[in-house]
Amino acid sequence: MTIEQKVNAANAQAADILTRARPVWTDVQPAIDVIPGMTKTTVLVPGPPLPVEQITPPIRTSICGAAVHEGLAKTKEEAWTMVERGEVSVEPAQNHQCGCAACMVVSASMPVMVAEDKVYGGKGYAPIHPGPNPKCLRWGFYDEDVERDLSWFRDHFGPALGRAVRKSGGIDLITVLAKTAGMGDENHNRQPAASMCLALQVIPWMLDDPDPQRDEMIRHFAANDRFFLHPMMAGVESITESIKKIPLSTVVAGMAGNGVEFGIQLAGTGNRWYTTKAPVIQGTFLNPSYTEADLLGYLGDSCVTEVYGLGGMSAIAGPAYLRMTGSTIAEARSRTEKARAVSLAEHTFAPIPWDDFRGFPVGLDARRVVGLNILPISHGGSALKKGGQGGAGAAELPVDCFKDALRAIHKDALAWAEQEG
Amino acid sequence: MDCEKILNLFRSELVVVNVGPKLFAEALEKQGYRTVQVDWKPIAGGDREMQAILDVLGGLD
Amino acid sequence: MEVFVKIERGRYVDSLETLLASSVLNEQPGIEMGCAGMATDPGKDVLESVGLLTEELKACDGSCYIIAARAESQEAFDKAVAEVEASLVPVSEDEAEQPSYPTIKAAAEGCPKANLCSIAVPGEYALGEVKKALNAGLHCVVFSNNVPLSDEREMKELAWEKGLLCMGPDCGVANINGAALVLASINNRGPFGICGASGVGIQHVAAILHEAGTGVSQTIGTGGNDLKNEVGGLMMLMGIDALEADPETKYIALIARRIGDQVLPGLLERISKCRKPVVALFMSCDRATVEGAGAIWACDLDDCAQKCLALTGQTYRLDTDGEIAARAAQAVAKLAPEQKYVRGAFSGGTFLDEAMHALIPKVGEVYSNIALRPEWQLADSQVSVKNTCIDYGEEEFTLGRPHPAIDPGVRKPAIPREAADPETAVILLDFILTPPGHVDPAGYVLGDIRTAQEQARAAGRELIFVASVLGTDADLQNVSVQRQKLADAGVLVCKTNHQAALLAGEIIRQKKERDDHGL
Repeated sequence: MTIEQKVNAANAQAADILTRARPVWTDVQPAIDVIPGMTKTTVLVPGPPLPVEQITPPIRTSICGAAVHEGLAKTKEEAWTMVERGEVSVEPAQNHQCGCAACMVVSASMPVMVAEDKVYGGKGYAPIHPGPNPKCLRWGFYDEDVERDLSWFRDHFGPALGRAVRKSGGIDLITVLAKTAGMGDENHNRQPAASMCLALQVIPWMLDDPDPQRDEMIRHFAANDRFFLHPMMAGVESITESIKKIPLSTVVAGMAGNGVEFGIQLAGTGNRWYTTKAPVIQGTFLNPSYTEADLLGYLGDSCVTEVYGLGGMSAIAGPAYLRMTGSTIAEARSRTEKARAVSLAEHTFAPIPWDDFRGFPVGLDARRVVGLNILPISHGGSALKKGGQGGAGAAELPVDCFKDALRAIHKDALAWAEQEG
Repeated sequence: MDCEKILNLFRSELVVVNVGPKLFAEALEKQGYRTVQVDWKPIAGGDREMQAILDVLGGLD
Repeated sequence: MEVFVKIERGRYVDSLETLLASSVLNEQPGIEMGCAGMATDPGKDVLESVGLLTEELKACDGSCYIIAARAESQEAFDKAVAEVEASLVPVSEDEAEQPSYPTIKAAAEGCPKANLCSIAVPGEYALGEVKKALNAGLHCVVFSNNVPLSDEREMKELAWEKGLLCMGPDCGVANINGAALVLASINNRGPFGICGASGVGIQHVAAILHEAGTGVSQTIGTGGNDLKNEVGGLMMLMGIDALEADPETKYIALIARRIGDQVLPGLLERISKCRKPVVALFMSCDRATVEGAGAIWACDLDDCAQKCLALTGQTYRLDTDGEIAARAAQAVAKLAPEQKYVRGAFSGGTFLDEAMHALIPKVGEVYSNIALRPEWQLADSQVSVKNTCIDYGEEEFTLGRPHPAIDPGVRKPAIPREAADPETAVILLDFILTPPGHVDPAGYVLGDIRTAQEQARAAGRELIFVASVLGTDADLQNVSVQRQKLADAGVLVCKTNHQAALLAGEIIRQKKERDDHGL
């Protein structure tokens, strides 16, 4: 067997898992009870690892907020000292099969959604989307109001959602994507149809919830048209867990930004990150006074949806998002075509009606990204340096991290070939 | 040699995949033939190190 | 003035387009000298030669598209760059409807009816792309040159194995199913199948067949290196097989310049078994060898076409020696005493060679950048010596620029330079028509011819222009229209390049005779 054949076989296996996996949202539990390797002093953060001193201000606020929320520190300042001393352990969420969108972080007591891949057995996690209020931990804010919300999620909303979804027997995320195919969601930055479809399946199981705040919770849930992003991220993490164990595969198994660097993980090298300078999201600003100088580099784990073929990968499925971010249908089509050129497979469950009923491309092959010099596009919201969302748009993934990843696989491949003789 | 595939070409409508400058595709279209364009770029944007690595890892059909 | 640069990493712009970009750049106000292109080593050589290779550009590699210019100001440079970018936007209106694909495989899957792949990528990448095309089941025509012979062998062996055509690399001409591929002319269909290792040779024979009222079934260009020992003549042999099997082909013409000693026996053996009449123009073979294989021998391109036509009882009227001599005599009468030499400016090697062979018996030594004898090699291709013929299709002129048939600008400096030399009597030119070529190659030089003639007349001389146009009346430029334009400008137009060279040589010969006799 040649190296190319070996890599092709590994990639075929990864592509097979990506297309046949069946992620189901099954539960909501405190992070410490379910996430492997989670401790009382762990804070999971988005993106590839970054030295403490380089952590961006909004993430710093979120980490410190989480530490205060956990009772590890009285103040944010005290919390930061603990981080600097290593008393609070800051770790990339994706290394724990968890996805933290934007500036969100996860600490021990926070409720996380649990997704299970019913075919390959992997599990993935993600915190609950906080809703439309822009002042939240997810955008790097922490004060008394945010603490009140976090506590409400921990004490009421999280447990109630857990009860409902357990009673429902689990929400099959593929079915949600299939039912909402052709409804205009690209499922990274725009998912009103999927969120509604999901809510319709969960709310009936909340109607007889014993929590006295039940009605408020249902109101909150029903009002959040971005809710679906987070269970979907948990779903993707449940799948990538299974592909991160395939030696020599050049299929992308994880990707994210931390505001400074952007990184990818390959199926062949598990949780190893390959990083480079993070691109800045190009698109529209939420406030006309903002400029690119106000923005951090790509920040957040939400582009794990692109790992699964959603968002920028299948931009043509969500043309309205392109319009909203100052782009065009032609560009949407081009993004999807680019993704197809460098992907190994196509999902069949959610055909796009206005794209000849073709499916979402999935299974980014780093060899093709580098070799064809075609850079896939990720959608995303941009974070302000001072905290908060600056805008929304898209970023071309930087080629250098793909090149680094290929160097690593190449080294592994030569070692494999030597072993094989 | 078995000429069947060549004779098949001679019997069929000519449809050309054009790899490289569009000039050649446009010249065929002016003559009334169908073409499809491949947006060819040097492998790995001309990066020699990556070309060598991709020679080993393959995957570029 | 200061040098300004713009570098775009990872962007690829083909040389056909960078040429246009450079032209547009140099037309912009405030730009003294500019250059756009990929920062490959040859590209950097060009930059260095015009003094634009800054340290920053030195550090770039072939993955960078660069625009550099000595400009008045950053503002002027930026404006010029914007104009250059605008010029690169495709003009085709239905661009959006034309799907394009990232790979050959994707194109073949997206367009299942596709059956032939035309490949024109830098030579080092040709093998990879040809393999992809063959593996996708596509026949190939490969314009790329500078392909290593081992690569050529590999692609042709794969083609052989798969029963697919691999025309080229370095294939300039092929006509498949009536389509003019690469730099071919548009021809009528007819009973003649041509397979050859010389693009211009095929085009020339096909054009005469067309003009004589018949035409070609298919023409298969093998690429100039096919018959070298290292390649083994694989495509020539496949071409013969295919033309023999093709029911539309009644007669076969084969054209080759030099045939490898290990290739020749197999080729002759194959010809001897061919069930269809074969006319062979093998420039490196004697008549007996060709006829020994049962083929009809041809001595040159014109003869090859005539021998083909003879098979169907047709002829193509060429000027006789007497007619040429009479035409020459009229021209000689106009020449001033100091005008003694012919200066040829050609757009490719085949016609250059043919012309020099025709000239030598009449004029003696012929200097060239691709001389037939080492002692006739020009020291400087920009400075002609006595009788000189220059191939403007050579790399020294085309570096980073397309073939002169596409871009006649490559040859543009030739006319004023040769005309300025008081010893120049005849300027000999060839013109080649092809769908991707210049829309009006004759019209392109008329101004230069007029200016040259006016300046010569002012100095008491009359220049003689002799030219031939290769192409057909089915070509988009129409060979008749092109010939008429030249004739109207006073150019002596001949039917073929060979005849043009004979006329030019005869003029020089008669002039010398006149001078020698003190007439």
